[in-house]
Amino acid sequence: MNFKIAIPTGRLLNDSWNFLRKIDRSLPEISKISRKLIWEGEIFKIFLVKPFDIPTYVEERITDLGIVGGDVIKEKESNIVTLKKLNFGNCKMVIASHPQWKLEENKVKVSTKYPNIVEKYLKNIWKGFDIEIVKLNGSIELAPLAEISDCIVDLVETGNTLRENNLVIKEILFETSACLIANEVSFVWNKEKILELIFLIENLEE
Amino acid sequence: MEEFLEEVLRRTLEKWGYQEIKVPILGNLELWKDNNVVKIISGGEVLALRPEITSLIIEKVNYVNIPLRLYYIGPIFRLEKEKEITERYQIGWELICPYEEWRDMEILAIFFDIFKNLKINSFIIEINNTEIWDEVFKEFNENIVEKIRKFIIKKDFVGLFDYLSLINVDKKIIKDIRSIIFYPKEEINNNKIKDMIENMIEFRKKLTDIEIDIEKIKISPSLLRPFNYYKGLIFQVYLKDLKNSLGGGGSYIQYNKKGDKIFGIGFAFEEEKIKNLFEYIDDRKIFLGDPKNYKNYFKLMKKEREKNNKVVFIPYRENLNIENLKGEIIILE
Repeated sequence: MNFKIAIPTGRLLNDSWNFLRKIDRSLPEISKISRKLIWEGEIFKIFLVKPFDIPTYVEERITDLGIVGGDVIKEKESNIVTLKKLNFGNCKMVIASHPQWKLEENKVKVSTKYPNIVEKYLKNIWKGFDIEIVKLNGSIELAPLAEISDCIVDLVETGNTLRENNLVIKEILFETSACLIANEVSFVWNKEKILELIFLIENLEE
Repeated sequence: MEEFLEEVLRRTLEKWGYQEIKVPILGNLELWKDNNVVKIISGGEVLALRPEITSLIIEKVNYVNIPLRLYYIGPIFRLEKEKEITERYQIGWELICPYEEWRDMEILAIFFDIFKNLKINSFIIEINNTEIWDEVFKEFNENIVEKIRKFIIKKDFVGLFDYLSLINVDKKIIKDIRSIIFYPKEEINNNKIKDMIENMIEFRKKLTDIEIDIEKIKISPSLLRPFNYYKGLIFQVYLKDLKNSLGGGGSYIQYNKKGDKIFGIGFAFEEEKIKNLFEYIDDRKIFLGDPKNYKNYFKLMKKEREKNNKVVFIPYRENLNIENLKGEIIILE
């Protein structure tokens, strides 16, 4: 096996690195990795990439494989093979707002990092409502507090940030976790090896 | 380069007895039950910019017991990611006649012939039979089948298994689906599916009889193609040097405009995807000389043309990079 794989910096970095290290012991421990963005082990050549760029790295075949949250896959809709859910990075994509907020008026303003997901899910569940999407890049919880929007659509892991900002979950859109993805040509050309890797992962998970 | 590519394709296909067919760019929306179609509203009627060409050919042809061999080169339009309209040039060939094994073999053999002539050797053709998924789909209603088809075509296997668990599908069916997706690593227990795969293995072996390198043919039971008209053998091509699939095709049964059943098989790919990959072989003779002496060279070039050779004159300049010239260079006094 020898794969180029993109893994996300940010909240999934530690779990992704430790997960790959279970398969490739030649990789250093997570505490010993520096600011270097490419790491080469015996099995994996790892590219550390911003989460939202991972589907692009895989689609463009810069790497054969990638680890990325299901939220990013749904948002980006890239032309990739979504192979397997992994046992970490479990989160929920939710609609959240002030406890007293209700969907009453015809017009609703939603702040989010995920405009495509809002478009796809909310336009389906809030049929007939005029939905205005405010695209933000971080601190989404601030939006209802600063009255930028009525509610937010965001990824929630523990719910602590929502609680600390006096926001509550109004609806769960979907549950998600980290996923293993592949470039479609890499998948066909290395099918046996990639399937072997999936089976190895499943054995580790048992 | 594009002209060279089209020349190789036309020459190869015409050697196999294929004739060019031209069809309209607009078609009836009902031809393509697919979300990725660019719709055109004209006088209250909704039409579609063709996302592929086969359906329009089928509408037009009549089959009178003699195999019809057709090819086409032209633009197709798709709606990508639900908002971007893309226009691409598609090249394809269709063999219209009822199913017999030789028919499917010929379509694949032509692909190998074209790619041999383009000197492109690193490719894999995944093959499958639509009956494999039909065996699974018979357990579900039409709406569920449509949803499952979308996940498979998109190769979103995580989404597929999430959806199957959401609608509480029987564990045995999930196991069958898993064995199809993870073939050949996962054991297939469904005997009908197992037999269908055995038939494909036999078909693959027979391709050696027509000098096809079967190392390049891989059986992939999970393969599904967009568009519902496929019935029987389907295939998809992956070039080692590309980042996504080159194209593909398969066997189909559809109705023409008169309502007659049309059986056929076709293969199509997008021209742009290979334009930087093939080896450009130019059989021109390049006469390189002083432009002041053009009239002296004219007779020499005329003689060459009378021998059916392609000849071009290039005026010699001091800064001319001869390495950029493709063909046999003849330096003139």
